[in-house]
Amino acid sequence: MKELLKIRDLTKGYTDRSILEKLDLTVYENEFICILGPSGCGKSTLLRCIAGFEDYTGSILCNGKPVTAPAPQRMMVFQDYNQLFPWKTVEQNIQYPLKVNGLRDKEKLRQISDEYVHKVGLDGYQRYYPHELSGGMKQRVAIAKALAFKPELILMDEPFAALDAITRNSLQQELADISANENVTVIFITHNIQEALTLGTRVLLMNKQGKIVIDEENTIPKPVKPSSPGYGAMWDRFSRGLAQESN
Amino acid sequence: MKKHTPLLAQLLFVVLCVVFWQWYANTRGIMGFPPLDQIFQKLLDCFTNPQRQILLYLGNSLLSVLKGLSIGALLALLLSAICAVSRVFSAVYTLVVSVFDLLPGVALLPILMITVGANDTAILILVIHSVVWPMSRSIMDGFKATPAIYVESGKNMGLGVAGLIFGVYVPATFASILSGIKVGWARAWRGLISAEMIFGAAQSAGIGVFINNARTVWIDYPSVYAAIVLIILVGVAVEYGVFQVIERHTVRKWGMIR
Repeated sequence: MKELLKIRDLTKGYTDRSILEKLDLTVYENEFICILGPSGCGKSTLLRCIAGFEDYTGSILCNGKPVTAPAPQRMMVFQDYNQLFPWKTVEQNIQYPLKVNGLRDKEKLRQISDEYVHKVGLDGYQRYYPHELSGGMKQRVAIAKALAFKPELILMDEPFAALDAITRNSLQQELADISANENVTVIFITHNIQEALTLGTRVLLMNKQGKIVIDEENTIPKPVKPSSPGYGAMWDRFSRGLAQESN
Repeated sequence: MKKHTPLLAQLLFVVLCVVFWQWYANTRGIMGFPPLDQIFQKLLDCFTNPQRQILLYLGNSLLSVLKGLSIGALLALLLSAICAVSRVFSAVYTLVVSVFDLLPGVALLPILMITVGANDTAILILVIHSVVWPMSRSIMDGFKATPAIYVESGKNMGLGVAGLIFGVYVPATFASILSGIKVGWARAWRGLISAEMIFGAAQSAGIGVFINNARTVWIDYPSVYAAIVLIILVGVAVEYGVFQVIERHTVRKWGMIR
């Protein structure tokens, strides 16, 4: 497997406290990494460093190049529903990153946005504005936008955290299906163990000191269900780890 | 309260005003207070009479405002955009805006008259002056209130400085920009007519000159009122025919205002 992201000695802190300390992580192509951790452990900060939104010490290399600023090759999907531009329709939102980066062919743009609108189950909503959509639909569009660009890496910061349980489950399933069929590498932050086990091909647990304490391949056969073999044992390990870190 | 009650109340109020006006004008017969039928007769006459040609005067005024408003709006957008990227410029410009925004354009007229002369340029400067400061204020406030997530999302897509300003900040603040243009338009329109009345004869005579002529040359008060009615009509047309239409096709459609 090809190394995509290589993080060495990543340290990040604010004046009064340190958040990440000497963190090492290597991500390989086509991995779906889920990072679990208690609130405030620095999961989001780690993601923002990888995205290029934060200064840091240490090294982050993406495809061998150091990360110094945000770039579309590391596309972010935020937790906030309002990440879509309200002045653009669903299809314009999906097309915009492609347009900004030089794709001008209208027919091609339309074809790509239609394809990804279909993949996230929003056929017929191409001309809708974000304010006409529900929270779950907006997150679907945000995911479609990230996938359509075909970035090297997609960074998802608890994209389903604010959704109701039913919508959340169906989006997890859809994302699991899509990621299995596309060549994508994803780092997905969550504090929901079920979500991590459903989506991840590799699951990590971060502790409050900003260190990775569990790093495990997810060998549970897909699609993952609570009744799948190995689910209970893995869930237990992470649940115990999380409980320990939360105390 | 039923749905139509406010509308009925407004209508009733207008009718009462008209009736009172007509009664007062007819019973008192003051020169500066002509009856309404005379005013409307005059208005129609001014459209057709080759000596009055009120539409020509109005056209000149609108042209001046349009020119000044476009230049002022562009300047405000440009200067506010520089503020968004440069802290030093922003500090200085904020000070400049607070000082000049308080200065009525007409107060600058004497200075403009001796520096650039009593001509269209002076009027243009005056109109730009009345537009650029309030608009800058609205745009800068809007830029500051742009949600961080739009900006981060834009940076993430690879937008540069210009891309961020025109692709994110401007549409995200479009409601503020529009309200800035509204304030700018109102100030420009008032400032222009005042200046025209004081100036009297600039190269292209506007509606302010018309009012002044009606008062001093033609001694024709119904014409003064006819011009006032026209000014009000233009204001209403711009509000409902321009601003509300733009609003409906942009910020309202985008769900950014209710």
